[in-house]
Amino acid sequence: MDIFEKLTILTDAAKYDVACTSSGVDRGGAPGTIGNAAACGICHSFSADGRCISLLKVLFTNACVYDCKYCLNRRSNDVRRAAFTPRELADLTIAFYRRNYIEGLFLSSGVFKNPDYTCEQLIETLSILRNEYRFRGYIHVKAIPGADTRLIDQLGLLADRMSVNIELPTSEGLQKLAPDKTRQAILKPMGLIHNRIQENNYDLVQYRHAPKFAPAGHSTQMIIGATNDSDLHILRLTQALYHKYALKRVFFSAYIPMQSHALLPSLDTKPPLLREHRLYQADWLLRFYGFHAEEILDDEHPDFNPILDPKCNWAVNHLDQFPVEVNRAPYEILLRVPGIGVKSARRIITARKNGSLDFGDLKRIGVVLKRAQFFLTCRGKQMPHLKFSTDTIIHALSGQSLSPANSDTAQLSLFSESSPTKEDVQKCLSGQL
Amino acid sequence: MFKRSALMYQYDKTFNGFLCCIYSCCRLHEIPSGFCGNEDSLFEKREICTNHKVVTEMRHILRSRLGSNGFSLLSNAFLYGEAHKETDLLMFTLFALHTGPSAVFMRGHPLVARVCDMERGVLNEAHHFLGFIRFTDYGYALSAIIEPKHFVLPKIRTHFCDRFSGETFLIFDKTHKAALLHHSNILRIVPLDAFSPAQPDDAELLFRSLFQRYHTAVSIPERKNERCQNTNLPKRFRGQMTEFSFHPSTTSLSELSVHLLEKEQSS
Repeated sequence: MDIFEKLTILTDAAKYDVACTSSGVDRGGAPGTIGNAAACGICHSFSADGRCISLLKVLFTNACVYDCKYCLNRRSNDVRRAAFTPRELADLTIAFYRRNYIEGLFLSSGVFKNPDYTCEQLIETLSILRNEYRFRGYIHVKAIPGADTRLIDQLGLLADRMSVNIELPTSEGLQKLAPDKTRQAILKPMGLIHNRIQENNYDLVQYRHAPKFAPAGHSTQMIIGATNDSDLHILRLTQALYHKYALKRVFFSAYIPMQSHALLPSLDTKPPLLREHRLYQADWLLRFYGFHAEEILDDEHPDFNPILDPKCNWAVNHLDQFPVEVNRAPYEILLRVPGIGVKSARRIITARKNGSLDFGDLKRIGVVLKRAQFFLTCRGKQMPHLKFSTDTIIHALSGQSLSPANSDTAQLSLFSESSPTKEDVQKCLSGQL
Repeated sequence: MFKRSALMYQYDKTFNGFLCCIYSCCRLHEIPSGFCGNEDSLFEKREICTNHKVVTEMRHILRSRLGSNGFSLLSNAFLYGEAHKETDLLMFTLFALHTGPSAVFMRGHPLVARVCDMERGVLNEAHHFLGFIRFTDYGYALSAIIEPKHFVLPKIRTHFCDRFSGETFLIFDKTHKAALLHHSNILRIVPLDAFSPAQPDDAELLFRSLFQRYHTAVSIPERKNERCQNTNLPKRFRGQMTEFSFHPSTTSLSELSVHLLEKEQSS
């Protein structure tokens, strides 16, 4: 099998992995080496589905001993199998990197033979890159659940970021769809990586040149829509993962039906892309906007509003906390205004130190007022000519045009809400009204 | 008090030259009607020569009066690729010289907002090019061609020199007719009218084809979203990107890879 076929098969098998960022570590180049890493991450291209291509995202092999129902690479599925050799993959990575096609390598693998053997192959690939080619670019590697802790440790010392897929939001779902995996077997390496990162932080304080263990932290991903879990449950789990394991990211992957099975959604089910999008929006609120999962959703409303994004939905349900005064509101409150993000809030804080702001200033600063206008006052005044009602807010926030029938901004009328009667018209024409 | 002048300032279109223009404006208390390079014009012109002593003095004054943030804002915004940027930059500089270092933070002010927008345009494009540049590997050197709106070479040079510190490479800016050259820690940005790269060798064609194959294979058909792709990767960048512009020849790709493998084994 030539390299073209291998690359096609193993890319095709890896494309459903969503954790493909190259962020989290700032590492300069050095003489005699190749590569560096930028903390902000760099996108090198965008594929036809609009997703960023930053890393060479491939599986080491798509042969697997497990039989997870949702997975294309499960052992009972009749697909073509392929495997790179460590040298082949390292050479390919360097060739792509020199041409600036990629920012580094994202390496995952099916479990062939056993977890330890798979892990050893990954370690060999990364060793060639790091020690032979002296590659200082970004490497993201999947920890193989069930592998020996010493092997996971070696892997972490060679990679920038590690991840363990939590696969499904509940252990019941896991039991049903991935009978060979257990929640404990998944959380164990995650806990191990977390502890090792903590230890490494202490080591680095004592010895500046101590080898770094996964300096860009660790992440996980879960499949959305393969089981019947509520958004609230997923969001609570996400929040708990951030707190307990100090994860850098939790990724969500909308389930795409590719095989027919009694336990899985039918093949004509569309991937829940909007739900995935709402979860990412909520994830941002948890990480950067100071929200808690319980503020975004509750037991009465366990699923996201399909029309409004989570932040707008929260604001519409808490109109008593608005409007806020741009020139006085603290940073944390500004962040809660729909339409104002981290950048805009920082710009407002900087700009208002040198004079009070009005709506014209906000526009020039770069604050998008389409949504924020309903929730802000400048110098105690609301936006001029603002039509303020729950209906107009919801329609403006959802980006839908307001139909005249539902509009509060209809033409003023002398008549009652129902259409004028014949008598009304006669009175109007005769001047009695 | 500055008076409007009907004259145009003619300078060498460099940042140092522009500093000399600011110096001249302050000395003569005038604001020119515009700025031009060496091109012919029907307007009456005042020629401003770039003077090293004036440049040093102006850099010192601007750094102390605008602060380091203000000076870097001005120098970044100067890279903006618009014909009449100088007047906006001059008005901002005069305003900042009058106001002091706090001028940079008055982002609601129209003059400051305009210059901040210009800087943002330059830095955003420079960040895009960190990822969107495609090198051709000739074994002994790498070369790339870009067609940016703004003059981004000074903003991307540190990144690529750090990344490929041991490599010899050239990045040719087709729009501004300039090239970034790097060879064993020597770095230059030089004017270059044209650059025609050599024909790529077999290995280069192989990796181009491989990357194109990878780019196609990694997208999920069920999630196809052309609008999102166009937003994140505008079409103006794609002209020089391997995955969009490279068309493999009629030679079978498999034959090519087999041929290369044989060559490698024999060597």
